[in-house]
Amino acid sequence: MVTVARPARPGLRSVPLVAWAIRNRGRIAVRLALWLILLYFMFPIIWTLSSSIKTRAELYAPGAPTLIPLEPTLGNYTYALRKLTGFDLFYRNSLIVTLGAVALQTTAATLAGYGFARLRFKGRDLIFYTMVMLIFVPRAGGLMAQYELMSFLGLRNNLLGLILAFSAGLAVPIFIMRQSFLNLPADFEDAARVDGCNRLQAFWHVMMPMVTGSMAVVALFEFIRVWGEYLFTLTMIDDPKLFTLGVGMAMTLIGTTVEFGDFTSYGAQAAAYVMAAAPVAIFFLLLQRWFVRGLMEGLKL
Amino acid sequence: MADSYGHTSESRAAAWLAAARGLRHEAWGEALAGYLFIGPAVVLFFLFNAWPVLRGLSIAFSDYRYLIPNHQPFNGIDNWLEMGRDPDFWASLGRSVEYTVVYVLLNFVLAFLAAVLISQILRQREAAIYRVMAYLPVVLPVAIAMLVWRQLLNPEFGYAAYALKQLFGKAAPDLLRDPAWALPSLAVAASWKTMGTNVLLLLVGLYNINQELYEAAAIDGAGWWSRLRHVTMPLLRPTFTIVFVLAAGILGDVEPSLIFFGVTDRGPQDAGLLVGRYAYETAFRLGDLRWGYAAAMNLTVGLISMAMSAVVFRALRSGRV
Repeated sequence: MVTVARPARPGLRSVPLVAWAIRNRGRIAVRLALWLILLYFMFPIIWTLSSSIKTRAELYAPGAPTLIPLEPTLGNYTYALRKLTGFDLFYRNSLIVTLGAVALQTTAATLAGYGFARLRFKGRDLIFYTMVMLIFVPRAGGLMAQYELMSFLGLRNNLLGLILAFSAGLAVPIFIMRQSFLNLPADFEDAARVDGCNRLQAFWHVMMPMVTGSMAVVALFEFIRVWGEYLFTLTMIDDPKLFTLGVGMAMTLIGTTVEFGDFTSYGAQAAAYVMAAAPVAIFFLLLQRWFVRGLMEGLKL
Repeated sequence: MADSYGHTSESRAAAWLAAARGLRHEAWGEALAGYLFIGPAVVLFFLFNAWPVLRGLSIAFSDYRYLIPNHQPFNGIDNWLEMGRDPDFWASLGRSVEYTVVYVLLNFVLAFLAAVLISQILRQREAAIYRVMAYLPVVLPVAIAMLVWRQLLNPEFGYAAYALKQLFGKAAPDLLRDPAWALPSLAVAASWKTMGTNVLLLLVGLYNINQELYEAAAIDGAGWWSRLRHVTMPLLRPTFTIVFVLAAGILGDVEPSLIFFGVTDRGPQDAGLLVGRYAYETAFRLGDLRWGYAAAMNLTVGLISMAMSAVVFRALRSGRV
C-alpha cells in the first residue's frame, strides 16, 4: 500500500486522530477487510469455546445468543469428563495411535531420507521414484485392499494396525527428508568420518541434528493427519472400546440429548470438542514457526 | 622392471588390487548401510501403502463381493456397463459436482482474499498471527469441524440461523434438513476446514512476487485493482494451478458427509449421498458388500478428477485464463 502524507489542512483534518486515520486509511482498510474474513475463519472456533463455558440457561435462552458468557462455568467440562461414555477411552486411544504413528513415521522417514540422499546402492533411485510415482495412482479399491490386508494380518480391531497403516504414508515425508539431507554440504559428514565416526554415529551426531526442522514438519503433518483421521478408523475398528476421538465422538455424541442437572449434552459436547481439539491445536501452535517456514521453503523447490 | 618410483610392476599390481578390494569393501559396506537405512520405511510403505493401492486397482475389474466367500471373478468392464445404467451413481455424481463447485468457489474466493490481504501486512509478527488464525481450522479433526458446523447451523440454537434471521428479517430455512439447503450447507462446512491450506499456498506465491514489479506498475500509474489484475494474477498462475489441481480431489470426498449427516443418515432426500459415499456404502454397508463395483466407481471418480486437473493445468499453463 502506498500512502502519501499530505500537508494538514485546517478543519477536521487538524484533529490528530482524524489526521492519523486519513494518513493511514490504506492500512486501516486492509485490516478491517482482513479481520472480517478472519472472523469467518475463527467464528466456529470462538463460538464453540464460548458455548463450552455457558450454563444451560444461557445456552437455551431465547433471543440473541451471547458470545461472551454472562456467568462462565467449567461445569460442562467436568460433566463431559464424568458423563460422556467412553470419552476418556477415546482420548487414550487417540494418544496411543497418534504418538505411535508420529514416532514410527518420523524415524522411518528420517533414516530413509538419509539413505536415499547420502548412500550409494543398487536400486536406490528406482525405489525412490517408484514411491513418488505411486502418489499419482488413483486409490480405487485402496480401502478395501487395506481391509483385506488387515484382516489377513489379524490387525483389524487393533490399535497397532492403525499405527502401522498411518505411519506407512511415507512418500511425501521421505521426499521432504531426502531433500533436506541433499541440501546439507557433504563436508560435515566427511569430516566426521575422517575423525573415526562410523556411518551410524555420523548420522546420529552430525547429520540428524541439522535436519530437526524438517523432522518437526514431518511430525506435525503426521500428528494433524492421524489425530483427525476418520474414515480408515471407522472401517477398521468395530469395537467401541478401540474408537479414536473422531470416530467415537461422531458415533456416540451425535444426536444424544441426555440432560443432567444444570448442564445438557449440548454444552458438554462443546466442551468435549474443545478438549478433543486441544492437543493438535497446541502442537500446531508450538511448532507453527517451523511449519510455515518449512512449507514455504518446500514449495520453492 | 622398476619404474621411476622404484616400484616393481608386481608390487604396483598388488597395490592396485588391494585398493580395489578396499573400494569394493567400502562400496559393499555403503550399500549394506543404505539398505539398512531405507529398510524400515520401504517395508512399511510397500506392505501397507503400495500393495493396497495396486491390489485395489485390480479389484475394480472384478465382481468381488466380500460377503460371498471366495467370490472375486474378473469381469472386465462389466462394472462400467452397470455404472452407465445405475441411476444412483449418476445422481450421486451430480451431487458431488454441485458439492465441488460450491466448495471450490467459496474456498478459493475467501482464501484468495485472505492471502492478498495478509500479504499487505508488512509487520512480520502481525502477519504470522494472521497466518496461524487462517490455518487453525485445517489442523482440527474433520469430525470436530463437521460437528461444530452442525451445531452452528442448528435451527433452534445455532448462531447461523439467528444471524440469517437478523439479516433477512424472517426465519431461515432449516439448513440441515431442507433438501435444497443440506448439500450446500455440507459444502460450506467442509470447505471451511480446508481454506487455510490454500491461504498458505497463495501466500507463498505472493511473497515470491518481486516487489519492484509493483513499484514499477505504481510509477506507471496503475491503481491497486490493475496491479492485482495485471501483476498479481498472472504471476500467481503456477500457484493457482496447484490450488485447483488439489481441489479436483474433492469430487471423491466421503468423510464430511458421513460425519455431517451421520453414518446411517444420508441427509434429507439423500442430499448427502455424494458419489464417494455411495461407493463407500456399496463396499461396506449395502447388500453383499460389492467391493468390485465400489472400486470401479472410485476409479472412475479418480480418473475424472485427474482429467479435470489436466484441463485446469493446461488452461493455466497456456495463459488462457
